[in-house]
Amino acid sequence: MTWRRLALIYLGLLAVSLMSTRFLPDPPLALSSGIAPITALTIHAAEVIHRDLRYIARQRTLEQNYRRLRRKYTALNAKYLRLRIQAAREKAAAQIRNLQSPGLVGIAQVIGVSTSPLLARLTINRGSADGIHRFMPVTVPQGLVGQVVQTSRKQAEVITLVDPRSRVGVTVPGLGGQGVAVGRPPGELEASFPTGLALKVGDPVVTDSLGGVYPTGIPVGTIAQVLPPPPNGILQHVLITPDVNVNDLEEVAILQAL
Amino acid sequence: MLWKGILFFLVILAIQGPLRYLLPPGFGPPDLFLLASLVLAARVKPVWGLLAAYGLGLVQDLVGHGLLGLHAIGLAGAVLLYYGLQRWLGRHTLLQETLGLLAALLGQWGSYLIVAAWLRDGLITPHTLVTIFPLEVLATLIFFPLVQAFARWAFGELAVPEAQQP
Repeated sequence: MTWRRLALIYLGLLAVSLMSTRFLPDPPLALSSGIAPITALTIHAAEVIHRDLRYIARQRTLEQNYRRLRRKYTALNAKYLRLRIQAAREKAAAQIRNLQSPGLVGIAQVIGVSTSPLLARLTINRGSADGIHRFMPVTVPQGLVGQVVQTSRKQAEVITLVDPRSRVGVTVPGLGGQGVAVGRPPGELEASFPTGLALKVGDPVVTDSLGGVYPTGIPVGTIAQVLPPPPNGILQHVLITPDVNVNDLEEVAILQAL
Repeated sequence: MLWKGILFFLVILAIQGPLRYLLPPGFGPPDLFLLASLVLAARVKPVWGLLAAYGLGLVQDLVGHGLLGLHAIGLAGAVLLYYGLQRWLGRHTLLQETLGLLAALLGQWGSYLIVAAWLRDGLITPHTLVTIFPLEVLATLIFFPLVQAFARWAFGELAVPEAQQP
């Protein structure tokens, strides 16, 4: 019964609404001006809240963007550094191929140096698994470093040219003559040449085929001192300052053994 | 506690418009007048509930400078279907309350459609039904528990009819 009554009331109200929506003008503004202060206040409050929320959201977005860009920058910087190191290696490898020997086996990092004050040896991070074998010459673009004397699977030991047990066949370009340079720690070589050569301080010294270990023409150093000839000697001795400071190497190139 | 009831309607009146500012873009505000009508309808006799809803709708029309009687009959239609469904289902569970609200929304928009058909001026288009109606349903459903809690504070708990008492 109530439901029917409600439906009838609704129909009556519907009729009123249909008439009012069709024939009555829009309600005047004066009718709503009474609550205008309330709505104005809440609208202002809502605008302030909305603006603050938007500001916080923007700050969060900016912070997220900053973190994302920071991560990207770090990754790109690391990539750039890797590429720069790789480019330096490639450049060094190209120099070695062009100037010293085309038989470049690879580039290795120096991971250890001899702790003895008498010896001058290096440990590199490549070994037999990388195709490194004994007697392979080791160089850098500036000149000769030494040769591999021992290998393990992942590492190799290099005897540098200033080690007292190092023997390098050398010559002076333009003068001819073959000599042998022996290491003289901490940082020199002593080379013996046949007498009769007009050796003088400042002459460059390069590798020679003597001994059959090193490719010819790799820079070894510069004559620093011509020692007085021993009486009745058949050899003259010179001190050589090597072109390569073997105590300051990070990477070296390994060449094919002859 | 008359002042609580007055405060309830003043708050509804005051925040219905500004809510639009606080919601994400494209997300329509809930119809707080509809929720207020249902809250009131649940607490008074049906005839008075229907008339009160119509009156509340008239206030909404006046405040909104719209077609006088449009929202009024919308709220009356909403309360009518709300009572109708409540008569069959009752309002003991959350599901029944939600179904009652959905029926009310259908009654409200059904009334709008009748007025729109009468006016023939494109007040409601299929696009309106596809875009605005679902968002309003969603927003009103979300705000329903909040308004109910506010109404419990303002008007007290709903009285359980004797026939429904254990």
